Amino acid sequence: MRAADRVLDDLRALAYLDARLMANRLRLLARDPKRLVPWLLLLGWLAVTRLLRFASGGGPARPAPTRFLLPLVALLPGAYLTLMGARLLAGSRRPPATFRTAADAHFLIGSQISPRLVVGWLQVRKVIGGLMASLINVLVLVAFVPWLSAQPTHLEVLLLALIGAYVTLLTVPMSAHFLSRRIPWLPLASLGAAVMAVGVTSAAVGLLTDVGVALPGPTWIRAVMLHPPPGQWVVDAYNGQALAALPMLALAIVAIILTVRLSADCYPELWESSTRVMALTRLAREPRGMWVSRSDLRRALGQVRQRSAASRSGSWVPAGAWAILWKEWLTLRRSSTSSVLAVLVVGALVAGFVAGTVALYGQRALMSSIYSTAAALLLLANLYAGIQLGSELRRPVWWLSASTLKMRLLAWTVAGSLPMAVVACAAFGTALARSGEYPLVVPVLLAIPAATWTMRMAAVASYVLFPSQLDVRGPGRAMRALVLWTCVAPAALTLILILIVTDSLPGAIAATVPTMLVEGWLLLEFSAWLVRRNGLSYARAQSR
Amino acid sequence: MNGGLWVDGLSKRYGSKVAVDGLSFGVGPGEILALAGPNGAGKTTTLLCMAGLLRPDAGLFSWQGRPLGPERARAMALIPETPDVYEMLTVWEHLVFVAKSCRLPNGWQEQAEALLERLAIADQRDSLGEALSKGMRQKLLVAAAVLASTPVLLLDEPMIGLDPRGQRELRTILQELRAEGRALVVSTHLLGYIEGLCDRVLILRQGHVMALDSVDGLLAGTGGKSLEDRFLEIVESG
Repeated sequence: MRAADRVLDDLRALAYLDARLMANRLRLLARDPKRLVPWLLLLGWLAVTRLLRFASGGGPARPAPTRFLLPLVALLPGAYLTLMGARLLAGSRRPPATFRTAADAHFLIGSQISPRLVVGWLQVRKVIGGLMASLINVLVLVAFVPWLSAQPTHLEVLLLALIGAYVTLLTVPMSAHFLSRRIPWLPLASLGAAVMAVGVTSAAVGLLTDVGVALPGPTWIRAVMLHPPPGQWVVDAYNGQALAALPMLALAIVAIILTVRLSADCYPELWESSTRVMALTRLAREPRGMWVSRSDLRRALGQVRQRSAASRSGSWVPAGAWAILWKEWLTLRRSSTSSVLAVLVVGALVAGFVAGTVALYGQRALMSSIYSTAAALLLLANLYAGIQLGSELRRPVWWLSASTLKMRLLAWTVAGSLPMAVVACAAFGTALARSGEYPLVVPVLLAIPAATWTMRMAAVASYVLFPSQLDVRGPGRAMRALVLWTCVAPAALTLILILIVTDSLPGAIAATVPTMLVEGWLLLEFSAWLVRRNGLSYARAQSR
Repeated sequence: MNGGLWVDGLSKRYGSKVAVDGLSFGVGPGEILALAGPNGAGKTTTLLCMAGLLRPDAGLFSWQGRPLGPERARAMALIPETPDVYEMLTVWEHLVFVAKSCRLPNGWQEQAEALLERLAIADQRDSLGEALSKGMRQKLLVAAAVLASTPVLLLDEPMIGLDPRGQRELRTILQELRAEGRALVVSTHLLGYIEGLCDRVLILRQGHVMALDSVDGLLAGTGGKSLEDRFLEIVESG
């Protein structure tokens, strides 16, 4: 058989695999059309947005949420360079996980298909998968971009530049890894660290320039630091420069070609990193979720180290459901998670100080965007937290308790939300104190624990409503996200109403606390009722 | 040994922990070698290194005197202990993909049909991978590995999860593969299974070879001890 025919046959086999995977997924979706509801809601909202804009003649009025996004554009080149450096650094140490599942690895590695073709195919699949997964973001971009841009925007150019930027970021670690294997003396790790340092400096220069701080040094250095490629190419495309997308796309193509050319004899490393990520994904569904430690990962990978700890007498342990708090505390103490938490608290204090300083300089738009991003991150972190309930329910100890299911759920959610509340309190408390907003400090510090617990309760409620993990990347996640956002509404409405009536922000924030607690309690009642009805079916859905 | 599969000086460490240390053995065509040993002995690591999923720190592999390079997975099919299959492919689609990706000649369909019948999963032909039980997945992987027609088959705890009928069918299939001249390496804890099926036994402990002999050879001169007693004696000695 000729080499070209062989390649064609191999491509056909790979295309068959992915086509069947996709077709069967769609077939399942067709059998259960209600899974399309969240997508239809989203598309409906986008259509309404576009129609309204069309009806208003595409006027220049920008909605409030987009105004505070504008200052972030100045940070983009530096942020992108930082990401590139981080990816380069990571790739020089370990290749990115390429096989999506263990089945993928076994069937593709054992096949007669050339590794170069397999690696190229997996890269393309990853890019397409990533683009599909971020379809929502692209659609949101389509809805908002015309308002965001200061100049007439070429949407197509911007999308091309974004795709190029995305593909480059995705491919760089693999190229870096293969290069470091081929040319071991190449200092790729140091290069990655240097690129990261330049990126962070550039972002800092962008932030300070935005705030209005006069920076010393030659103008050309400041100009270079403010607009470093390749992130600047995206900004240029955003500003409507038609040719800006070309170098970005060229960079992406070079990264792909380099990866495929260098990918012979790469399976063991790809397998190792893929199993690591698969184990991490599995662990992220466990009760501790995002707080996965190295020892957890080692255990999941079968690399167990003998460890022991002095058993606590347990004489002061709270009775009943609140013993869950003690169990979670011990787990936190005995893993490296506690040091991660300490680092997060320090990071939150620094971030809060920066945000407070920005507010001091009167950059309220930038400060609002920092606060909103932090709040959105908290919400997203909670979106995932609900899924962990399934594995908790799978543990026999959970069902052995003498206390009621409601109390156990309450204790479990309080224990889970406490670390997040500590980090958020550190960030927001410092920011408010630094900016001199003292009347807000106490209400905000009261509202944060209530908010994190209510969000966790909302995540649990959304999970008990949609327990299956099968479409965590698709409509299932969209549905849970929708429930979660809906749960934010009562607190938001209370805040707005009290603010209108009393014109006092501290009072309005304080008034949201009882609203959130009542809402959280109602969600707790609902979740306990549903779990009691369905029992272990959640655990079963989880274990699939 | 010139013919068959030859593993020479295989070593693998995880950080400071030695998983396999200078392991050498051969498996002839038409032979079944059992890998036995307590938990953590290095059995799975050995199989993963052989299948090209782990990069060994040292070691050479050859088949019929020809060295096998990094792409040795093409010559060795591995059936792992955790039977992972594509959740969104049906049983039959798995076999189609194997046939296409291994460039099997026409006529593979009949063999695939027969394999499904023999392993009692023909009625699951159109079931998606996500709907299969662990035993069914195991059977599907066995069918895929047999269909791929690799000269060497590596099986990690193949009996776990199989029902009694599946176990008997698998045993028969392995005996047939041996008769066809394939070399088989089976990692297992089931000593009774070794006695009835395997030609030789390689007993590992902490990555070192403790014994390599036929079942009769291991039991010779022990005064009628059972294989279980002999096994425990070997792994607890030294």
